[in-house]
Amino acid sequence: MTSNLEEPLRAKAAELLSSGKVDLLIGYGRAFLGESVRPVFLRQDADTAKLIWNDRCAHNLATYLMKEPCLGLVKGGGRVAVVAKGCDIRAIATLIQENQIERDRVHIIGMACSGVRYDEDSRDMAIKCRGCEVQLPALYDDLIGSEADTGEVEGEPREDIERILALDRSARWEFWTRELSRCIKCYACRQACPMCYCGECITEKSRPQWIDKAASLKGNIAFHYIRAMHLAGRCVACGECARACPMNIPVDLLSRFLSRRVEEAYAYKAGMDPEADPFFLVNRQDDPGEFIR
Amino acid sequence: MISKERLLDAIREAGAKDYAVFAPVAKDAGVMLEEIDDPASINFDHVLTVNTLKDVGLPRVEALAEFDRDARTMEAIRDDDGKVLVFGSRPCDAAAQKILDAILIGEITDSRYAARRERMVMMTLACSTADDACFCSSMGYGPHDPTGSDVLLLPKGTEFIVRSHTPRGEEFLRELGMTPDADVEGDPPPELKRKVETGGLKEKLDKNFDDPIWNSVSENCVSCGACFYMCPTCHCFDVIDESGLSRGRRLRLWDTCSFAGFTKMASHQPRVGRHARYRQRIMHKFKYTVDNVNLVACVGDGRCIRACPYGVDLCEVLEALVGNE
Amino acid sequence: MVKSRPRIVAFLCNWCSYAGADLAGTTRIKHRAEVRVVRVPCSGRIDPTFILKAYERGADAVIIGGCHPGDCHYVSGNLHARRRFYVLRELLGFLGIEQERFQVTWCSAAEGEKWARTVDEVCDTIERLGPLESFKSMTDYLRIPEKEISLSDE
Repeated sequence: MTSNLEEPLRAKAAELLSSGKVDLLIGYGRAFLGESVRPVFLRQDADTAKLIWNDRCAHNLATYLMKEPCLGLVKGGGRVAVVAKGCDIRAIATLIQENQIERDRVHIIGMACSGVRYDEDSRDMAIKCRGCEVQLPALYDDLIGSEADTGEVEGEPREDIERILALDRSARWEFWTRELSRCIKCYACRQACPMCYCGECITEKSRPQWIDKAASLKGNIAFHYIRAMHLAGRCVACGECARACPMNIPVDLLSRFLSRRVEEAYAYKAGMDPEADPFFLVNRQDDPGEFIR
Repeated sequence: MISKERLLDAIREAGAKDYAVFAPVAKDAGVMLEEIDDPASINFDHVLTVNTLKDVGLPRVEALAEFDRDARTMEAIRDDDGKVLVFGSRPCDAAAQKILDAILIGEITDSRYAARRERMVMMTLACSTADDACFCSSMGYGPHDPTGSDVLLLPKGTEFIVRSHTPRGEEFLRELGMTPDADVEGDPPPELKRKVETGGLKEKLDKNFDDPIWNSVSENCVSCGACFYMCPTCHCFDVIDESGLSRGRRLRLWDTCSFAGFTKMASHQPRVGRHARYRQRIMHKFKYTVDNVNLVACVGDGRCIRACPYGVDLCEVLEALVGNE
Repeated sequence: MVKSRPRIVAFLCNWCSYAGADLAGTTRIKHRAEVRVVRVPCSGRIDPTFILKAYERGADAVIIGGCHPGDCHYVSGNLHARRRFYVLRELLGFLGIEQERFQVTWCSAAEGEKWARTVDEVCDTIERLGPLESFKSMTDYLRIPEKEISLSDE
C-alpha cells in the first residue's frame, strides 16, 4: 500500500539534497523480497525517486546515526537527514539527550504515521504500534503529513507485559529460560538498537569476562539481563531488537518493561524531551526508596 | 515408493536401532531441526528450517574439556555418542555439509567434526516448495539435488521416491529394510523465482579488494551476526574458558568476522569498518574457499537474505559485483 | 541429610556499611555467619554484573549496603545506586527470581546492630525460600563443592 505522503517526502528530500542543507539522507526504499522495504542512503537529489513511504517502513533508521558513514560525516561538520516516525524520533531525542549527536547535525523528517506492519500477510499493524502516542511527531525539522494522516492503529491492544506479570514466579522463570535458551548470540538485537551505541560492548570485554560469551542458557540470561539494565529508562520501545531477532525471541520485553516501571515510578519517559537529563544521570532526594531496609 | 506413514515407521525403527534422530519440528522460532523422540511431530511442509545442520555437526556451544585449576587437572570431554540420523533437511543443507566436509576434513582435520560426520546419515527431503529467497539453482544445486545426501526422498503426490546416493545410504536402507526406487520420476521440482548470474565473479573478486563498491553494497549492514550464524557454511569459531574460582570448562563457540571483537585474542580485528567485514564474508565464500578447496561456500539457501533485519540481499550484492566494471 | 546453609554475598560501601559491619564485630554482636562481605568504595560502584556473577557462582542472596541518603562520602553515589537497584529489583522479579534474594540496606558506621539484624533476617528469609535453584542447574560445573566452604558451627 503506497501512501499519499510519498510524493511530498520525495520533494522535500530533493530540496534538502539539492540545496546542500544535508549531505546524506537516510530513508526507506524497496527491497526484493515480497513487498518489503529496506533502508536506502541518498546523496544526490536524482536518487530521491528511490524513496518510498508505506506501512512496511518499520525500521528505526536512527540506528544508523551511531554508525559510519554518519559518524564521520557529522564529525566533519556534515548534516544527516533521517526519515523518521514518531517512535524513531524518540530514539533520536534520546541520542541528543545523551550527547551522542548535536541537534543541528541531524535533520529530522518527521512522518505522520498510521502504524507499520512487519510482514505482508498480516492485516494487523505491528504490535509495537498499538497504543502509540507519537503517531504525529512532536520533534522534527520538517513534518510530512498531518493529523489527518494518522489513522487509528488496528488490532488487539498490546498486553505482552501483563501476560508475564500474571504468571507466578516459577512460571516467569520458565518462560524466560524457554525463550532465552534459543538465543544464538548473533547480537542482531544489539546492532539494530539505536540505543546500543557503545564502541565496545560489555559482552566483548574479556578482562574480566563479566558476561559469558557462550550462547548457553547461562550466557544468554547474562546477556539479556545486562542489556535490559543498560536500556532501562532509555528504551523507546521501537521494537527493532525483536524484529531483528532471527530466532523470534521477544527481546524487547525486558527493556520495555523496565522503561515502563521507570515511567510509573519516576514519571520519566525516554526520548520525549531532548533537553531532559537522562534517567540514570540524575537523582532526586525523594526517589522511591521503600524497598530499602 | 513409500508412504508418509511407512516412512515415519522407518524413522521410528531407526530410533529403536539407537539412532539419535534429528528432524524438523515446529517450535517458537519457526520450524527447527532438533533431536526428536516421536516421529509424528515431524514437519513436512516448511520451505527450510530456521537453523542449519551446524546444530548437529558444529554446534554453537561445544564443551571440549573440563578443568580444575586447584587440582591442576584437565580432562577432555569425549563426544562419542552413537549414530545420528538427520531426517528431512533440505538438499541445500545437505550440499552445505559437503562444503563443510571439504573445509574441515582434509590436510588439517577438525577431529570432533569429522567424528560426528562419520556417525551421521543424511536422509534428505527434496523440496516441493520454494520461497522468494531461495536461489540454490543459481549456485549449481537445485531443489532435488542429491549433493551431500546419503538418501534422497523425492516427493511424488503424497508418497516419496527413495534414492540412495552413497554406500552409507545403501547400508542404512538395508538396515531399515527399505529398497531404493529406480526409474521412477518424482514430481517436478518447484520453479525458483530468484536467479543470479555469477559468471566471472571469481575473476572480479581476484582484483576488486580495494574497490569502492564494497562501501555501497554494505551500507545497510549493521554488523550483526544474523546472516553468519544462520548460514549453513559459515564455520568460524572461538575457543574460550568459562570458569568459576577453580573449576571450569573449555568451550568452542561460533564466532564471526562481522563482530568488531573478532580475532581480538590475537591482538586485533584487522577489518575496520562494516564494509571490510562484509567484504570478508563475500570474499571468504566466493574467493578464498574457491582458492582453497575449489568450492563456492554458498548453497543458495537464502537464509542470510531472510535473516537480515536491514534487507542486505546477497543476490543483489553478487549481481552488483559481477556487473561492476 | 544435612540441610544446606544459605550462601549470601554482601557488597558493602567502605565508608558506612563496612564500618558498621566492623562495629558489629568489635562490639561482639552475634549474627549469622553465612554472609561473605565484599568491600566496595561506594554503593554507587556496584554494577548489576556483580550481582549477576554472585548468583551465577552460587549465592542464594545478595545484600547491598550503602550510606544513608545525605551521608554519601561522594555526595550522591548512594542516590544513583538507589535508582539503579530499584530498576534491578524490578528486573529480577520480572525474570522470575524472588525479590527477597536481593536486599538493599542503608547502614551507617554506627549501626552495627542494624547490620547484624539485617544479616539474621536475610538468612532466615533465604532458609525459608531455599537455595536459588534457578541458576544452579546451569552452573553446576562452576560451583565450589560444598565441602570446601563448610562453616564450622560454634
